Order: sequence, then structure tokens, then C-alpha cells
Amino acid sequence: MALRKTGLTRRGFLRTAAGAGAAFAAPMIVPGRALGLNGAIAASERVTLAGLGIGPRGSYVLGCFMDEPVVQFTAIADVRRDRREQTRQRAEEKYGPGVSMYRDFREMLDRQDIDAVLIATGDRWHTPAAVCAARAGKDVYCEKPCSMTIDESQALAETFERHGRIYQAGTQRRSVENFQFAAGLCHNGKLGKLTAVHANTRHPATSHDWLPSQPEPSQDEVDWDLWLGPAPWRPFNRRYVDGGWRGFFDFHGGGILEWGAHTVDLANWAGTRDEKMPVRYEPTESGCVCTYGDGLKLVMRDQNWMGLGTCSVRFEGEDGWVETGDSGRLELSSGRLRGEQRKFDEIGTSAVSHVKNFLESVRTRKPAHSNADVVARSHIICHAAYIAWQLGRPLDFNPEKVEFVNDNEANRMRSRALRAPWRI
Amino acid sequence: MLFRRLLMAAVFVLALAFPVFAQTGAQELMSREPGKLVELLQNPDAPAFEKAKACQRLAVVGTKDGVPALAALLADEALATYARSALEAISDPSAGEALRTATEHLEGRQLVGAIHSIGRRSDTQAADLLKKLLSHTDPEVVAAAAASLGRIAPRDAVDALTDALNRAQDKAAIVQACLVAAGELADAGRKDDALALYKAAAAAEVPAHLRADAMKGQMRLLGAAAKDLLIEQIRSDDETFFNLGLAMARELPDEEISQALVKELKHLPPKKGALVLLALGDRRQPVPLDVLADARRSAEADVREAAVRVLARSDDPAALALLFDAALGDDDTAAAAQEALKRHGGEQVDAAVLARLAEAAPREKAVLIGVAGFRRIDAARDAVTAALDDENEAVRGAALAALAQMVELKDLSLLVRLAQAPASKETDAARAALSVAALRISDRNAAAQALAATMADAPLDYRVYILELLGTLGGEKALQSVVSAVGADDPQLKDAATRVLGGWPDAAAAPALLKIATDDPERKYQIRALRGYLRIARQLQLPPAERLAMFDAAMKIAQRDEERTLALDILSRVPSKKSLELAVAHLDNAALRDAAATAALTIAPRLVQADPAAVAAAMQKILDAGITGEAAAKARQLLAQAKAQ
Repeated sequence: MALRKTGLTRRGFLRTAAGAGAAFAAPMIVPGRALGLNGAIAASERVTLAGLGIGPRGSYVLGCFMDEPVVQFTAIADVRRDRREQTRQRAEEKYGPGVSMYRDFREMLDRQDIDAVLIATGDRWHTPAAVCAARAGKDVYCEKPCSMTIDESQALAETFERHGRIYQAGTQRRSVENFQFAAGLCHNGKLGKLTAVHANTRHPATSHDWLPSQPEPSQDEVDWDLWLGPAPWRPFNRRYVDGGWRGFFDFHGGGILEWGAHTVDLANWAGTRDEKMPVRYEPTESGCVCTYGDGLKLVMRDQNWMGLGTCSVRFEGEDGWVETGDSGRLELSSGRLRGEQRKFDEIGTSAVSHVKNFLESVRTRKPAHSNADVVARSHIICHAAYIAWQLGRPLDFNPEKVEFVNDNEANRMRSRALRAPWRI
Repeated sequence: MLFRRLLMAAVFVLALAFPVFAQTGAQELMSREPGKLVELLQNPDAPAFEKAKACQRLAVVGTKDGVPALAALLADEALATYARSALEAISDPSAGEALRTATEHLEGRQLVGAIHSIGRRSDTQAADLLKKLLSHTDPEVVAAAAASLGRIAPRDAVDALTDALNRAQDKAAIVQACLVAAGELADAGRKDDALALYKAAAAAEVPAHLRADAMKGQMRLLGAAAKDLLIEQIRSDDETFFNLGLAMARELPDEEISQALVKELKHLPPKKGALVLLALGDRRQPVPLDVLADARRSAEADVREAAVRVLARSDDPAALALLFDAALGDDDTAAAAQEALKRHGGEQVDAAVLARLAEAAPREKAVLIGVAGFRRIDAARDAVTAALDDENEAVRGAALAALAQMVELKDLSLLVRLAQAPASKETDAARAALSVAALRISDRNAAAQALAATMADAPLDYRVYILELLGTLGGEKALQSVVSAVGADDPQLKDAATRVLGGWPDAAAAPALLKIATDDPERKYQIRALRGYLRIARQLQLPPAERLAMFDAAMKIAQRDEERTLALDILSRVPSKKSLELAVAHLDNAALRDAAATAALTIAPRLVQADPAAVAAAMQKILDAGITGEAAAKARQLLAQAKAQ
């Protein structure tokens, strides 16, 4: 089995070219007009948005999109009839009649008048649906986690690079200021040489069992075949469809990926500016300790946090540390660092700034904060840690080749077949 | 009656159509030796679930010995994906041969899946087979064959894919394969072959975005020689190709590209020009200052704002002057310019702010103070302090916000004075500033003491505000002050203090909360305190033993089932034999039974390997207690798992 050989994509070249001109840090958030995004919008300049699999979180994110004047929501695809109808009703209350509904998202993607797609399905669909959308010429805002395997992570990055589409993962904390501030302390040297970055993850375990089979509903009510999509077949059970798919190996990447998609992503950004991946993974009872080539540790753990909110991160250097979480509050190691602090109002679960960043990227064609290239790295780290945890042994990893060193079993866990006809 | 009979008949038919599979015990199944798993696959009576799990395990540990049994499942609609996962992973050539052979008899989705797996294995021996499949009657098969061919044999694929572009029904799929193959060829140094394939794809009858993707590949290979092609896209009225031009304007690094883009700017309509200017700002080469000055004079706000963003990245003094002009101007790009100045990395910004502050008119002064505050320019502190008493309201407001970013402990009184004033917009602003300032004071305890001291003789609303601020600040001294306010005579103050204590940011408030929950004469404060105590036990950082001790304490004083239910949730956070036993001990209480079962079922999966006996005993108790539904199913599953250990 050969995984894609590039590690990761040719975008390394892009990043160098685009970043070299920046003598000074550009403002991260520019208020005001934002190139017409806040002004009066001509119909021809609107971003025509469609939704794919809008559940509870997707519904919230869709609200953030609909609050932006530049957005025109125009179509919804969902394998569940009730959710199709709910989303259409909501959108038509704002935009008036004309929001289309689709059971099969491929028909929706065939429409040439749709610019961008919000994907908020279950995890098994995230990469394949995003890849389909990119091939269909759509920009994508996709909920996390972005991939089910190491191979999917690479395919995601390569596809978006090849097709030149904008991708924003729903790892919104990259656009939330307290997390940006904490990462900034790492980047501007205020913490000194970094020694460890910590990511709040959850217990990794998943189940290989199946729920008892139940009679399938009609295809119109729930299209079970399309719900399964790229995941291997199993008999229908209503609980999966109602959100109970979490915790099952075929549908869910486990607790490291569940929160690590956010927190490992933040830690890798803070610790390496998205440029590296660890070379060693040592599993613990409920997480993993990873080590980069320069000795920096990335600690994934589910306990002993300071109570600053869900999805906490902690960055430690020789001159101090910072810890923060979804509450927006920060704890800092010293009075010197406390003096650097600012008060941040947006909480970690808010997608408002992240959606704005995506829409600006759609317009300017500049990669978004959580673009496919950077989230591919953080997701590979999560998958590698979970593989080490499942095998219960330390693993060495070659980030250039994106493969484990001298461990055939681990390497065979980097990918899974997708149920036909789906491919990435 | 007839309806009832029909219903019963329907249920019977459905039961036949959807037999109940053996669907648990995967962990035990997947721990078997590979040879046993292969035997299981060969057993015609083995349930689909067991075969699926066998395949999943063989995907990790299987060898050539399992290939025939796996290959036999490739036509099985339910199990083909599982079998393919294993065949993709087994490196022995027999796995590749099995997949190739299977294409001779498979159809539809199963054939498509096998072709994908051939691609995943990078099976170069399949090149001729894949070329042949490009002529298949099923478009899905053709698409799959093209994708696999493009990936595994790009050199062989050039002619075949070019030919398929002319005759395939789904040309988009062929173009996608061409893009993959061309990328592989480019990586391998076969530039001419790659260019030929990109050009063929760019000329295909497919949607514009795919032609643009092919053109993108071409431009990457051409480098500086893509200049004219790039400018052609920038000029395009088709948004797809203009967007391609924008992306490549950032990506192609050569200086002549920059020069061509700058030259093109003056010919572009303003909205497009603004976007190209932004792309220029992201390039290595600086944008000429006269271009930016022109852009600042544009009638179009988009262009002026783009110029601001580019100026923000320059340390040229003349560029900085333009940025100051924009920030102090009155057009609708001023806010963006002000933000840029706040975050500008150049030290000369500080000096420029100080120089301009001395002579500034009120509106400009407010802006400059805002910038000085954000940048924490020490040398501006006196001017900012003096501005607190400025006759202009905007200046006073800016000074308050700025001081919040600059003030030290000794100067807190400047903000306290204003925060103690009777309710007004400015008092609100002063309190907001004081809150920000307090967070920044390096000695948190000293800040808390100083703030607590200001409560004496202060208006009630101010004292309530300070209590809330102390709750945000946290720390030993802040906690002491809030605890002491719990004993206040004033009911509003006591109410505020208990509320703040209930939301305390760390576990240090637990003893005080327990005391209130136990001793306070008023029931509403007892309940509030107990809830705060439970929040700490459930949510904050604590050693396991301490968490369990808090569970005991809470259960002793809880008088209502609502709080007892919350207490049981504490146990979920402590996966141990003791916590499991504590949870199931409450199964006899009907009001707590579900919460106890939930806690036990959360703990058990994390304990089942280390202590299967304890888990088995606990799960049996859950089942004996009459728990039903999914919880019972989970208990049965864990019981089986524990017994199998």
C-alpha cells in the first residue's frame, strides 16, 4: 500500500511565496468595511451558500453565515427529510421562497450557481463530501474533525490544493482572540524557548460493535445508504441517525480527534507555526505524549486542567506558561505575562469571526485560517496518536513520508477502504 | 381488526427481512489469531457482523493466507468494503492479483470499489486493465478506472486519458484524473508530459472550474513564463478565471510577475483592482509607494481599504505616514487603518503617535490615544491620564479604554474614582476599563486587596460590581474578600457574594461553599452553595481522591434528589472500582436509579480491562435493578465483555 508521496502538499511553496513579503504582522482582524463584506451588497457579489447535513452544530454555524449580509443561502441537502424541511423553512423565513431541497448532495453540487458549501454532516462524510465539493468547484466550510484517517487528511489537503478551492475547517478557535493571543505568546518569544504544548483531549476509546438492526425507514425519510455513504455497511438503527453514531469506530475518530481537532490544531500552530509534526508518539492511559524532532513535547490529556473552559490548551516555555480555554479567560505564569493580557469577549465555541474569515477568503482567494493544508497536519497528529493508543505501544513517525518507522501494523492503520462508489 | 392483522403481517415480514445480527463482542472477536479469523470468513454460517470484524482485524494483521477468503467477499454488498480494506493493506502480490481477477466478474458498485482498491494499492501491473476499463459502458467504472490509472501509472496514462477526454460520457471525471496524473508527472520531473496533459484538460468540454484547475497546473509549471497567461486571467470577466488569477498572483514568486500585476492595476475596474492590490501585498516584492498613494486617493472604498492593508505591512516611513493619514481621516476605511496601526510591528509607530498626540485636535486625539493604549506606549501615559479630564467626551472615553491597557497597581485609583460615580455611560465605561486593568496587574493578590479596600463606604452597586470583578480575578485575597462579604448584613451584597462564590474559577472556593451549604440559615443560599460546590467537583481540576471526598460530603448534606443526581455525575469523572461501587449503591433509590446507572455505565468501559470482575458485578446489578432500553443494552454488552476477559 502506498500513501500519497508528498508530505504534505506543494503548498509549502505557496506559503513561502505569500509569507515572505510580510515584514510586519498584518492585523488578524480588520474591522469596518472588510472589502465590501459589511456594506451594501450587489446581488452579483453575494456568496451563494448551500448546506449539507445541517444538524445542531451546523444549524448554529448556518446562523452565523445568515447573519452576514454577503451570504445568500439557497439550497440544503440532507438525507433526513425532517432536517431538510427545517433548514429550508428557516432559510426561507430570511430569504423568501426559493430555497431548494435535495436528498442527494451530488445533485446540489451540480448546480453552477452555488459558490460555497457548509458541510456539517457526521464525521465519516467530512472528507469525501468536501472532496466532492472541491471537484465540483465549490469553496467549503466543513465542521471538524476534517478526516477519519491519515490518508484522508492527505487527500483533503491535496484535493484543495489541486482544485484551488478555499477550505475552512470548523476549528473556529483559530479565529478566537484568547487562543490567538496565547499562540502569539509562543510566536513572539514571550514564553522563551518552548518546552511543551498541551492539548485538552478526551478519552480515545471507540467501539467496533453494531447496534441491533431495525427496519429501515423509507428512503425519503432517511436515506440509510446515503447516510452511511463512505462508511462500511451495517444494519440500520435509528440511534445512529439521531446523533448516536459517536463512539463507533466506523463513524467516529475517538476522543483524541474529537477535541484534538481543535486543541491539537492550536498546539501545533502555537508550537510549530503549522510546519512540523511529532516524530514519536507514546500512549498514556487516556491520551498520548508526542515529541517533535527538536524535543518539544505535545501532551494530549483529558484531566488536570485549570477550569478555564472546554477545549483548553496550555503552552509552556523556559520563561513562562499560558493556559486558556473556551471561557476566554487566561491564566499566566507571572506578573510580567499578566501585564501582556487583554480581555477577550468572544468565547471559544463562537464561529462568528471564523465565518467572517472564510467569507473574506472566498472573496480574496487567500487561504483561510483553518485551511486544508494546516488542518491536515493537526489531524494526522491526532490519528497517529490514536493509532499508538490502540496499539498500546510507542511509535516513531517520519513526518516527511507520513509513515510510521518500522511498524507495519501501524502503517496499515493509516487508511481504510471507502464504500463504493465514494472515493477521495 | 383487518388493519391489526395487516400490521402483524408487516411486522413479520420486516422481521424476516431484517434478522437480528449478533452485533456485540467485537473486542473479543478481534483479539483472535489471524488463522482463526480466516476460518471464520470461510464459515458460511458466520454472521455478517463477525465477518466484518474479522476483515477489519485482518486489515491490520492479515497475510496472504487470508487473501482467498477476503476475495470471496468482494461481491458481497454488505461486506465488500470490509474485505477491500484488508486487501488494500496486505502487501503480498496475491492481494493485488485477487483484486485484478475480481474485476472480471464484479459489476456495479462492487466493481467500482475493486478498481478504487487497485488504485489505493498503486498496483502498476493493473495499468493495461485500467486502460481497458476506460471503455466500460458504466460511467462510474470509467471514472474509477481513470482515477486509479492517473494515480498509479501517470506515464502510461497520458495517451489513454487524452483519448478518453474525447469520448467519455463523464468528461469531468477524466479531467480530474488528468490533474492527478499531471501532478504526479510534474513531481517526477516530466514537465513536457505534464504540460501536455494539463493543456488537454484545459481544452476539454467540462465546467469552467475544471478548465481553470488545469490552467493552474500549467502556470505552476511555467513559472515566470506564465506571466501573460496570468494577466489574461486577471483581465477575464469570468469570475472563475479571475479567481484563478488572484490565487496565482499570490503563488508565482517571480519579480516580473509583480511588475506585470502592478502595471495591470491601472486598467482594472476598482473592485477587481482592490483584490489584485491585496494579492500584491502578499508577495515578496514590496508594492511601489506611488501605487499605494494612488490607491488611497481612489474614489472606491474597496481600493482605499486594500491600500490600507498593504500599507500595514510596510515599515517605510512614507507608507507609515499614509497609514496615519488614513487612520486620522474621516472616510469609512479609517477603522481598518486604526486597527492596522495598533498591531503594526514597527517601533517607529510609537514615536509617530507621541509626536502627533501633542498637536492633535480632539477627534484625532481620541484615535491616537486609542492606538497608544493598545500599543501600551509608556511614554504616552501622562498624556492619556490627563485626557481623562478632557472636555471632549470621545477623548475621555478613549483615555479610559487606553488607561485600562496601561495602568499599574499604584494608579488604579484613577479608574476607581470614576467607577464609583453614580450610574452613567461614563461610569459603565470606567468599570469596564477597571475590569480590564485589574486582569493585567502583575500581582493578582495585591490587585484584589486594593480593589476590596475601595468597597468601604462605596455605593452598593459599586460594591456588587467589585465582588463580581473579584470573582473574575480569582486568587487567595479575592476569595477572602468575597467570603467575608457572604456574612454581610446587606441582603444584596450577600446575594452577590454567594453568586460569585458559586461560579468561582478554581477549586479553592469549595470549603467556603460547603460551609455555607451546611450552616447558612437561609435555604436558598444553602442550595446555591451546594450547587456551586457540585460544579467544582464535576467540572474543575481535582485529584481523584478529593473528588470522591467531595461526592461523600455532598451526598451527606444534600436534601433534594436534584442535587444528589448532580453528585452522582461526579463519579463519572473518577473511573475506579470504588466510584463504580458507589454509583451502583444508589440503584435501589428509584429517584436516583437512572443517574446511578449512567454514572456506572460511564465508568465501566474504562475499567473493564483492568477489573472485569468489578464491572461484571456492577453491570449485573444494573440489570437486576430493572434498567431498560439502551442503558440495559449497554450493560449487557459490558457484562459480556467483562466475562470474556
